[in-house]
Amino acid sequence: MNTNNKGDLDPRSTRPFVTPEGYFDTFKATMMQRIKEVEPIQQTVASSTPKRITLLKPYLYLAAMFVGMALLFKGISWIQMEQKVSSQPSSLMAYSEDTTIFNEITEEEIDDFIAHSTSDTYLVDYLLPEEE
Amino acid sequence: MKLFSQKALHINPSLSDEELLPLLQDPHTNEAAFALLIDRYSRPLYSLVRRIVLNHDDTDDVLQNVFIKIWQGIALFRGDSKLSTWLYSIATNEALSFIRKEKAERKMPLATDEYDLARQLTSDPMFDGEEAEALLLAAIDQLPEKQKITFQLRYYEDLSYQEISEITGTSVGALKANYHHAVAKLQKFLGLDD
Repeated sequence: MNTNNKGDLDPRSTRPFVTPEGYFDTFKATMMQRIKEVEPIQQTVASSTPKRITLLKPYLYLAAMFVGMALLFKGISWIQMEQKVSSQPSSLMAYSEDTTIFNEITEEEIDDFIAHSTSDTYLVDYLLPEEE
Repeated sequence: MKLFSQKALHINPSLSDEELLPLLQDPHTNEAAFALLIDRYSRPLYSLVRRIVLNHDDTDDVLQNVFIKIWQGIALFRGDSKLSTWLYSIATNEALSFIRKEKAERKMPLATDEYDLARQLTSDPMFDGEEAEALLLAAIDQLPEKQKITFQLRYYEDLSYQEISEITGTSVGALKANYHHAVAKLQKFLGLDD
């Protein structure tokens, strides 16, 4: 038995730490007084039944995840399409930007051009000098 | 509203924790049951907190907070784990919260001219251990938080890894690793590694 003035006489000692004499009796009295000022949290009947939204939450999160993924894929494919259009040769884009030239050429001139460019006669005329 | 005073109510002190729990959760018997709980757990929880916090006055403050939280939360305790596990969990968390606040003052080497925890302990009238015990406690104090708690609960409280896992929320595997690293560091701190 620990009989020194510092030691606690209870066999369940707190060695190597020492507590003031009678500490645990005082502690108990203090606590029994303090709990009168504090209400324990009581479980209510309503809170014992989980709310519907709580039960549905995992499924809502799952649905939101799938929607998010679908939007993500849609966004990625849209970006890829935009990139495909913009990746065409710049020379073509440059020509396509200015349409005024095409507006000034008539269909008749286009037909003549096509006819001459494929006509042997035209080639002969081009290659051979004009007879005087 | 209480129909009768609980002061005269006597609860058999030999009741197990499982038998005590319903009495703790019944408003007609909770005060008397709580008194028994204090008798049963104030010393072990004091030791647990004191080994972390080290100072008696601080331990007293923390321990009071622990039992207030037990009183407040006991009605909501579902009994999924053992009552003792739940109590140790509250005590551990409260002690850790306390030392986190004090952390800046505790970030000191094991022994310096300005600060020597082991020397402080041995000169503390509230410490009745030998120098070796003081050195060990000072070394434990230097461990990272998780290793410190794992070591305390395993070595001093002799809890199983499963119980420690329930208290700390850490996996058994991680706890085993924590304990192994804690032992290695302590050996190094104390100059016991060859």
